[in-house]
Amino acid sequence: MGHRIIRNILIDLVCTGLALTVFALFHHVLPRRQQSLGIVISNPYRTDDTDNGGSGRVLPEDAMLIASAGMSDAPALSAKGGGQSNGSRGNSIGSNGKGGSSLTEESGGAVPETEGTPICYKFAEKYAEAVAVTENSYSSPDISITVTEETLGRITYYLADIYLRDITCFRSALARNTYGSGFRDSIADMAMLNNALVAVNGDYYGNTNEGVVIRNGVIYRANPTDCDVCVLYYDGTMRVMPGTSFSVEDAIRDGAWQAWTFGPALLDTDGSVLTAFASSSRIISANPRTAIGYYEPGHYCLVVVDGRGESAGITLPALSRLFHDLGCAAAYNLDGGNSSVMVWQSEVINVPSGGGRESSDALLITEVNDHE
Amino acid sequence: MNKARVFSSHLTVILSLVFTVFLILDRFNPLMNFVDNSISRWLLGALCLSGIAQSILHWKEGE
Repeated sequence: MGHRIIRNILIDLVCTGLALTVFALFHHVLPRRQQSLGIVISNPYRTDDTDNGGSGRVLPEDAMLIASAGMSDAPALSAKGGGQSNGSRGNSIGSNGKGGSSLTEESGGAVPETEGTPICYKFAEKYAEAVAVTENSYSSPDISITVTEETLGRITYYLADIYLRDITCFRSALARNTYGSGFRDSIADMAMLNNALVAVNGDYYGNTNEGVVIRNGVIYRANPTDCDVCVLYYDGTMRVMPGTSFSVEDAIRDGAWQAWTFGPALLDTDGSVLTAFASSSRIISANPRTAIGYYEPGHYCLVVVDGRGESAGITLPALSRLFHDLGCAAAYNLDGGNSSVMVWQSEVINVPSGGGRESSDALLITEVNDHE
Repeated sequence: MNKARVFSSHLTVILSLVFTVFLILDRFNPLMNFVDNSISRWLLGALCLSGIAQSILHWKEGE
């Protein structure tokens, strides 16, 4: 009798192990292409529309719907094929209520006849006429990046301070250039393939089917989520909102360029420090972190905090304090733990926990225009 | 009948253990969505059917 019970328990445990292995294979390991919404949001500030297709970096094979940012009623959701509106840059600058007037003010009166987002007229002193590279900085006519290693007690973090004249330099890379689950690449490889100046891990969208995935102006997924969603718009603004507040129509109307689902938001809507987070204590506790900060249109930062080693990692409230002290107006937590990696000029510059791990996507800054 | 009872009892134990693991993993990493993905929903359905089958067989045995 006793032998029979033990034998049954052993059989069940072995079968449970097998079932979990098969589950893990299908849920997590085996690459599986996912159905993309395939809605391309055209850049209202460009006439050549090379941002989300022509550059060839992330070309959704099944992209078929083209929606125009700045259109008030977003009818393009049901429009197939072409029909993209490229002549809307003038009246859609202020589509989310932030950029319209500042364009004229910042350019000193008349709007130049050049194309580009409102941010292209800002921070002129930050950019160089020709590409200039040092050990910890890069500047060109479109991009200015300074990367520094900072310490905060027992915490080591890496800060990439970024100024962009062209928001399309702020790109995402998908592992294997394919949207789906189980596709993974190292951040260094994704950075190299996309000629990234600086790159960090993204939200690891492939781990779940929940939430919003917008990459380089293409809406891949817009499923309901309880997580906060971070959206970067063509006009250079960035907003963090509850997942329940996100709508595809709003994203199209306001011209969403990137959107990530991980979170939580690290600063309150007025930019003040958050001390309480609706996450488990294990998630809130000190860990390696990757996060994005937003100062104003055209000025961003990427932060990677080392942890689980000589550097202790950082808690979410402390990370919130850090972004507040940096002067950010909004900040958003991305995938962390072993995923936290920063690549600067093709080199991994932080000390990833456990040697780092491959991810399904990366955030990167890269040149989109040719410079001498 | 006996084989069906043995099979359903093993299936119930295995699926229950699998879901116990899912619930523990979900506590640590809710974003991985272990509990509420399409595969888990099928497994949950199988667990329900297995539980019902086992109960019916148990009642039959009592008659």
